[in-house]
Order: sequence, then C-alpha cells, then structure tokens
Amino acid sequence: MNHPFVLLIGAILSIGLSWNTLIVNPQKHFGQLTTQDEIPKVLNGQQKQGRQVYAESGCVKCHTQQVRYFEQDSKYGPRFTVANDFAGQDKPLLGSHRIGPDLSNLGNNGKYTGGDGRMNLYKTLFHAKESQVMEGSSLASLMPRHYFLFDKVELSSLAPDNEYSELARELGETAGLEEGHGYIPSYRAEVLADYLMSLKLDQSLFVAPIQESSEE
Amino acid sequence: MTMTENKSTSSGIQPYMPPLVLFLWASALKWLLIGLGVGFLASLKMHATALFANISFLNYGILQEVSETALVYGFLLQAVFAGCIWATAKLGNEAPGLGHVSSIGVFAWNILLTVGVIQIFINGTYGLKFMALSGSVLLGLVITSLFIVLPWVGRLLNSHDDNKIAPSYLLISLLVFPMIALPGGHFLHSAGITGVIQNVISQWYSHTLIFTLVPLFLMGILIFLVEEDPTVKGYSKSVPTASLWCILLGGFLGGLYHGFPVGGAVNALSVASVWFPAFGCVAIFLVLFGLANTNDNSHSVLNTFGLKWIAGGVMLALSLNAIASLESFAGSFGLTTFKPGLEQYILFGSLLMGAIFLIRVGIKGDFKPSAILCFSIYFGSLICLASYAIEAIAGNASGLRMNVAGLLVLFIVSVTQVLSITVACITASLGAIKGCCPAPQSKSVEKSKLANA
Repeated sequence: MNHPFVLLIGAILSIGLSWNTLIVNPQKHFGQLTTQDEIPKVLNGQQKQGRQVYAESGCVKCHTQQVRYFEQDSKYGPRFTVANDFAGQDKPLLGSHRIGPDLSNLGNNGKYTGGDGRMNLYKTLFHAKESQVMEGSSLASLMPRHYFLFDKVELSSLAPDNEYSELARELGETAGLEEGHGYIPSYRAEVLADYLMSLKLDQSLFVAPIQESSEE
Repeated sequence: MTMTENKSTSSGIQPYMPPLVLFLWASALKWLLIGLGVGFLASLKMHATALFANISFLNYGILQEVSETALVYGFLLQAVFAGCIWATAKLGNEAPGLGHVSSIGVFAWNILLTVGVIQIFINGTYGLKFMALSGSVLLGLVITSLFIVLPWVGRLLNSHDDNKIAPSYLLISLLVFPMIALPGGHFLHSAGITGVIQNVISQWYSHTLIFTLVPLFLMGILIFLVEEDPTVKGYSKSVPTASLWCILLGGFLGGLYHGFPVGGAVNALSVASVWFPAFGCVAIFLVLFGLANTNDNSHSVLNTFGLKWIAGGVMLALSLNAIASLESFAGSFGLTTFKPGLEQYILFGSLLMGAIFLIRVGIKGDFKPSAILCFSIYFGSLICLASYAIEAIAGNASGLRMNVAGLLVLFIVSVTQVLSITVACITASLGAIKGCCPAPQSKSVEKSKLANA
C-alpha cells in the first residue's frame, strides 16, 4: 500500500470537511435560534408526553412531519416546513419516508377539528382502516390498529354522561368484543391525541410564508 | 502435498478461512435472519392490521426499526468486518488463528447489540435513521469495533506491498464505522445539539454507511480478487486509486435531499455529492468488466456470475440513488419507500450475499454457487426493484401512500426475499462447514517453495 498515512489523513480531512459543511456551519445558524425568533411550536406538558407516546409507538416510521416545496406536498400544509419549525426540539420527528400521510398540519385537518374531531382521532388510532385516515382519499388505510392505547371496559361501568360511552360501544363492536364490553382511550391515547392535534402549520414565517392559494 | 495445494485453482485464490472470519459470518448471518424475520413480521401487520394490536412493543414502527438495526449493525457491519479481515489475512498470508482480541470484540459487539435492540423495544424510535440505538450502546459498539479492526489495521499499515491498491480500500472500510459513529453519536447524544441538525446527523450517518462504506468494501474485495489473480495482465492501479479518492472526497458529503428543512447551499452540495461515488464506481467497473470479458479462461474468478452480480448491483444502486436525487425526480421518489428499498434489498440482500459467495472462494477455492441459488436471489431482487418502482409511481399517484396493489407485490417480495436469502445463508453456511477451515500456508513455506522453484 502506497502512503497509508496520506490515505488516512485524507479520509479524516474528508470526514472533517463534511462535518464542517453539514453539521457545524448549519448548527451555528439554526442552533442559535431562541424564543425571540420565529419558532412556531412550543409544546405544553401533556403534548410533550404525547410526543413520547408517538415515539414509543413507532409512528415516525410511517408518518413524516415535513412538507417539502414540491407540488406533491402542497396538500399536506399551507407552507413548507423549515428548520425554525423544529428549533429547540430534541430529536425532531421528521421521519424519513411516508407510508401514511404527512402529519405536519393534522391539527388543521377538518376531520379532526370541531366537536367530533377528538373522537375521530381515537377511531383512527383504533381502526384506521374503517375510518379512513385522511379526507379525499379513496384508498383504505393500511395503518395497524393500536388497541394497546385503549383500555377494555364494561359498558355498564361507565356513567351515562361519560364522554366516551358512545365511542366505547363503537370500538367494542369493531374489535368484536362480547356484548356489554368496549374500549375507551387510555391516558397515553389522550396525550397522544393532544400532541397530534397540536401539529399545525398555521404560522406564516418570513422564511416560509403561507401561500394564499393553499389557504383557499 | 497439502490440502491447500490440492485445492489451488486457476484463479490463483487458494482456500483460506480464519476461524475469526467464520465467527463474524455466523454472527452476521444470525442477525440477518433476525432482521429479515422481524421485518417480515412488520410487513404482515400491513395486511393483518389487528395482528398483535394489543402488544405495544410489537407495533409496526418498532418492529421496522429493530429490523433495520439488526440488518445494519448485526449483518452489514459484521459482514464488512469479516470480508475485510479475510482479505487482509490473505494478503499477509498469515495464520491469525482465532484472533483473541478481535474475537472478544465480536462477542461484546453482539451482546451490546442485543441490549440495544431490547432498548428499542422499550423506548421506541424517533426515526433517526440507523441511530435508534442509545448513546451508550453506540459508544460501546465503537469501542468494540476498535477491538475487532485495530489488529488488522495494524497489519495493513505494516504491509509494504506498494503494488496493490486493495489494501487501501480495506483500510478505509475497516475504519469508516468508528470514524463516523464516534462523532455522530457524540454530537447526537451528548453535545447539546437540538433541532433539525440532529436529523442532518442521522441522514449523513446512514448515507455514509450504505452509499460509501458498502461500495468501498465491495470494490475493495473485487480489486483484491483482480490483484490476487496472477494471470491478469495490463492492470493499472491508477483508475482504482482515482476511484478511491473520488469516493472519499465526495461520498462523505451526501445524505440530505431536496426539500430537507435545512435548505440552501448546504442542501444543494449534499445532494450533488451523491454523484461522486457513482462516477467512482463507473470508472473502476469499466476496468473490471474489461478484464472479465477478455474471453480468456484464465480469469475464471473474474468472469463469473457472482462477480458480475456484485459489480452490476453496486453500479445500479449508486446510479439509481444519484438519479433519484435529481430535483425533477425528488418530488416523486423522495420519502417513498424507493430509497429504503434500494438500500435494504440491493445492498443488504443481494450484494452482501454476493460477498458471501466470494468468501466461498476462500473456503472451497472455486466460485460456483448453484444455478438455483443464483436464480432465486437474482429473481427475488429483480422483483423487489420492480415493486419499489411500481410503489413509487403508484404511491405518488395516490398521495405518496402505498396502495393495495403495491402491498400485494410487497407481500410477495417479502416472502421471496426471506426464502431466497435463507436458502443462500444455509448454502453458504454448509459451504463453510465443508471447507474445514484449511490452514493457511506460512510465509516460510512460501519462501521454501519459491526457493525450490
């Protein structure tokens, strides 16, 4: 082997160059963002717990949280995502490929807003195939069911005015439980729903303004 | 006459297989089967959505992450170590035995990886590609990798054969993992970096492992075979040298893609750099194919299906990756399962299985895997490639989501891959056992032979 140490130094310099270009320089810029800058997302305590449930449930392997500037992505949000959207977050949940839809703007999806929005989200988590994940799609969802985020209960144990009474009965029927039993969202499902509903791309940024055509 | 002499072939490659390499291969094959099995289980959940729905740690995302981790750290890296150590030992014509320091490293590597996989089951994943292992486990893997590779790095540095370029490829291949995992793990877990830069680190790290380390390793083995063949004439080492530097200078810059939230010149430079390894490979394979197609039967090893399979696969993978990175294709192919498919099946499934057959050269002195075996792997991989292309197109049409037809194809692909690769593993393992690990010739024996001649 000719000049092995030249080779080693070359490899180290090459890696150092890539580090400087890809990590150090961008970190100087994006790592210094503070709350004084344009940072759209600041999660509250429950939403942070929901984010942890999102990671534990492996959601990020199917769902991205990045809207690119391509036409194909325009349906996922009114603007594309930028580094500011993730400033200060530990291990942003960008995802690397989409098997399911992008969730960057899920909190503004018509199906999951309004009075029934939260219940629809629970139904999606429980049996997405039947409930369809996103509006405007004719395809059945492939999303695996997440029974582990729900607690099995006897329907008679729920108070008549319990907000989950109807949902528990419906989920029980879907899962094929015997008469009188159902599922209600566990605490983990509730905080996960909190987190998912907080995902919104509704703040226009200087570096990524909301496009008017998308708003319409 | 020794057994080694009996098995000497026209290729010039003599049977030789250190026990340490077998140990590494056995570990790698074990993790390959685990990774494919868990991945298959994950794919089943796409069809039977209620499967294991009550068990939190058996959800699709966790299973997929465990599968990728097992394939990368269990199979890919151990296979690379095994291949490099085999070639290094053969270059030195030494008898390293079990290699106690390296063996301890391999043992510790597998223990740590098991711990890391259990941690993924418990803690879940943040989707940082190939960096789901905790910081402490990653650091442990870096240290154990040094145990495995440093004795062989020392041998390469002390070799004084200036006429060969293969040792340069082997040296870099052995050192890439500790060189990128140590800073990568540090910056990700303990340097206080937050935000999208953490994703940049994982993208850079995963890209380097797949599209820089694997081509370097496979090209190193190919060049090794060329240089070991005494019948090869007119082989210039300037092209492999240029290719090596091309990959070194450009290969480490890749990882980002069009639309990644960093943007700007950094993104553009990273995207453009994926062409460097592709160009590097094209140059070197022109030489290799030129040698293999001379219609000279003396180049028996070079002119084989396995070598063409590996060489063609590397070129195909790197070229497709480079083409898919173009902005005009990025909107359609980016973020689909196209790239993961490219990585998982071409590089893991096919090319490294091809490397197993190369190891058979060391065991049996020939290169003639059964036609059924070749066909099963070839056929399976072609289906994979076609299915991922279909998925990318169909997925794009349906909002970048997999559709039912695509799923059916993927299901068939999963079954085909698992079957074909399992058959390949069993065959390669049987070949290894039959090889009986013949002892290598010592340098003194070589010298006495030369003197007699």
